[in-house]
Amino acid sequence: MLNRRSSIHLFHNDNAITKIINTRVLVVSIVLLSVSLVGCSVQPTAVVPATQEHEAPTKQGARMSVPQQKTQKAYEPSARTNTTYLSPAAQELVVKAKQYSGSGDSVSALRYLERAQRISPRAPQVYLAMAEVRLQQGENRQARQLANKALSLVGDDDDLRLATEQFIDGL
Amino acid sequence: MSKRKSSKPKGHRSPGSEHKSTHFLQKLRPSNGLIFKLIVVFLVVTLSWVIYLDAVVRAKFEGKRWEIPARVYARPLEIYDGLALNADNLQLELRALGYKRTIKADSPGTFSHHGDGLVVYSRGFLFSDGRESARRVAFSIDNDVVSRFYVAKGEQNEILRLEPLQIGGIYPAQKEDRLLVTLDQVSGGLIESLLLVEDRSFENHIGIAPLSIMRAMLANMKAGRVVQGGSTLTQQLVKNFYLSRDKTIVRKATEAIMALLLEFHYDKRDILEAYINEVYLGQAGARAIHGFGMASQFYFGKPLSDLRIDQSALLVALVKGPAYYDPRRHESRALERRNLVLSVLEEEGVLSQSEAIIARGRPLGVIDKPSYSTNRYPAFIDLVKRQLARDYQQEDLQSEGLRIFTTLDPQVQERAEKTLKSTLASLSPKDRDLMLQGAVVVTGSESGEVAALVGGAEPKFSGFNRALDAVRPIGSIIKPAVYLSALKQPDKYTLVSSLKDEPFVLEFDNGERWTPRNFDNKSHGTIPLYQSLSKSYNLSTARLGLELGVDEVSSTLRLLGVGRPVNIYPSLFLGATSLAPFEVTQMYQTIAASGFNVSVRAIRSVTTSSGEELSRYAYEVDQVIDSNVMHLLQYGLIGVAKEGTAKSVYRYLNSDLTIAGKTGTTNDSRDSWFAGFSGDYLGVVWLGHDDNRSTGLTGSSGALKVWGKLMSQFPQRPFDPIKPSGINYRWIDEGTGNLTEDGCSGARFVPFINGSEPEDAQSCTSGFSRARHWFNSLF
Repeated sequence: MLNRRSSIHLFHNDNAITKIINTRVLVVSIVLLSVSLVGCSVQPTAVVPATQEHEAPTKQGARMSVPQQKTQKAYEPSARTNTTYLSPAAQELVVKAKQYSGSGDSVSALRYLERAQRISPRAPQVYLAMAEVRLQQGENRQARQLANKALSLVGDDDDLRLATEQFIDGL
Repeated sequence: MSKRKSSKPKGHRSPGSEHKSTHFLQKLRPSNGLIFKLIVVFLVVTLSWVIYLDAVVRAKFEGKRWEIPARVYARPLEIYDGLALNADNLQLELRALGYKRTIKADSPGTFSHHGDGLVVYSRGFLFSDGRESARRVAFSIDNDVVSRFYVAKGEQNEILRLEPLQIGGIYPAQKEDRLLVTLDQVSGGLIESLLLVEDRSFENHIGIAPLSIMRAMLANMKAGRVVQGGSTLTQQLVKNFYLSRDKTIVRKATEAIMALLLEFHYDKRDILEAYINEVYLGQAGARAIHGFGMASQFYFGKPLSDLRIDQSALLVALVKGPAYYDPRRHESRALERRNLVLSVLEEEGVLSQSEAIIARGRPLGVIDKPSYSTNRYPAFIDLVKRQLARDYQQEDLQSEGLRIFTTLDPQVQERAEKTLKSTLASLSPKDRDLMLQGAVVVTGSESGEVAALVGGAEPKFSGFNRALDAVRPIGSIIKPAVYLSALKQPDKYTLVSSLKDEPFVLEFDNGERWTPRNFDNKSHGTIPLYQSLSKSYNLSTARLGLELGVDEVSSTLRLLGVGRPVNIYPSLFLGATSLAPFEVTQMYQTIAASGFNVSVRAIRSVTTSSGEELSRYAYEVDQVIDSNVMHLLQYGLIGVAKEGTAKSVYRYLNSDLTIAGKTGTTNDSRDSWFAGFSGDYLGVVWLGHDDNRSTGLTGSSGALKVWGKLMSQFPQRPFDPIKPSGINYRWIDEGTGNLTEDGCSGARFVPFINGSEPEDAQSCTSGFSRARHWFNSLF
């Protein structure tokens, strides 16, 4: 009797949680959408082209590196804080993924998000979207991990940071 | 039906019975009673023989008819605006996929390339997330970046996903390869051609057709050569399906009986479908090409349903002798026989005269032998098999026709193999016995997906897979684990903490002594922690390790993903423990992914032959190291490449391509290591001799060369980590480790975990550092 009652309680709690989750997912999605609109104008980290002559003459290289050694300035990191946003191609895949997760097909959603991740591996939006799908699948632990990953990449985008932190708090 | 029944016993009884009974008669001269008995015995024997054959025929036809090998695919190339893509590498992949370069690229499987502009007409493919239809897409490659992506034909979206390259298969023992098709996937033209050429009376005969044998003989006499065979399709199927290849009377009889039995039990359509999938049509090394479905891919690189009449006519032409008429080796023979088939179609009114003339005028149009002819990347396939073995039985892999979608990037794999081979050749002494060996693993730096895996200097031969199995001392590439263990305690250690780089002796209880030395045999006094890492000094690292303890460092190694038990002595700090290159990759994967453990994976998904997904190996992360702490280590590892032991990598790389990494050299230069990553790729290279001889190489004079040359061939993003929220950057005076200002000489921009910044500050105008620099510069 006691067991049954507690299970009923659990069920109620689950319902309540799902409601909270749904509203939160909505908030996050809105934030993400607004973020992605901004995102298009930001330049992603530039690609460095392949070196045409990949076997540079060693002697010349050695000669060049010797004087460099003496006057070399300390390496200066960029210490960048600007968030990497989704490229338009990755954005298209994330939108498709959201359609799938919206219709309950979380497996397809993840497939699309992994394709987006390969295109924009340092865009926090991909990981947050993955976290949402994992939550939908009931995998709270992985959802939290993915949200942590998103948080580590969020940079100076305060709205996205807030959305991610709220997501984690709600788990 | 009744007709077939009655004919069945007749067919087999007569020839054998006479033969055997006369044989007995001669020897025994028996009475009438004995003859009768013998006939009864013979009937019983024959009947049981037929019953046995019947069981054989039914068991195989109704059971699993064929063992279909698993097909292993590379990752599909996705093309979109902003993709880093080198046009040469793209061409390499398109050619491997069997694409033909044409002027206009106006049919599937072709591409054009004029200046920066490319047009690719894809073929389409059934992926587990849906069908990607054939599309014609134009784009530019400007400075190794794709731009102006435009879909000229087909579904409009921003990504073109090419069909994945088949890189191998997991074959059963007899190495038959086939791609099952159903009758409705076969074009009408092919079936008509097949029946007209091989078995005109197929629709009506009962398994054997004496009349058609005679007709074939007549036709052959008329043509002056063999244009038609006498056996029915059913007999041919039986021959291939159930019997050995020897040509004895008994076998011919068995073949006839079985053909009759097959026709008795089964529908013509079933028999035809089995034939179409069974027939032998070519050879690729040890792999036998069976069935029209596989042959269509093997000769034309496209599905059977897409073949033109001249192409299906060629496949029908091959039935007679795939080796003799091999269109790749005996083009004129194949062309002649194909045109003969087309002429038969014309005679029978299947083709009009003009259609036949056009079809006969076409070239054979056979593609180059596909790259999956043999397992092209045995070391990678080896990894795939090992990862599959966790979830699948070997038997299922060899027989169920599974499709395995892997992470392999054929562009990176090809370049990695060539670069390793050529660099090893340039590093090895001319003496052939001393061939240096090596291994390369390349993964996506965030995803952990294996892009390339090379197991030795001769990558096309499967053998000792050094990438997975060469467990070798790792030397200094272990050091990040030591520094990470220190940086985890921001109250005790920062990047500018002073370390003593001076000799010492450690005596163990058993009397053994440990006296580590620097590579240059010098000591460097008191140095900041970041410099000890970038210059890979052993004395300071060993002292730091002793402060931290072996347990602490080995637990960090475990967190980074090293599963193998490590050395429990302090020599661990300098890498006196052994790992395989693949295990080192896992360790550095966690560093490249900023403290998140991602398993290094070679497989994305496994589907059935019809595309239904059986398993997926999803991206999963597990944060094992705080992002702030990892950011400090990454700063140090970038320093290794910018100003430390790996500086020579910029002989090969563009200076804008920031990378992070670590060199490693073991005792007597037995092993040369480099592990490093950019924004896109993580690569681990090991060089050494299989018998542990000295290589005479350091990490930077050996493995780093391979790494640098390989990475220089791929456009990619630099490693430019975002500053985590718990990090502050400060200007530090290199000499004192005090806070200073931007622009001061000897000032260095260094990250600190909040609250761990140095407290002492010195102003650069009042401090003497600038003055000293100015003073020094006078001389």
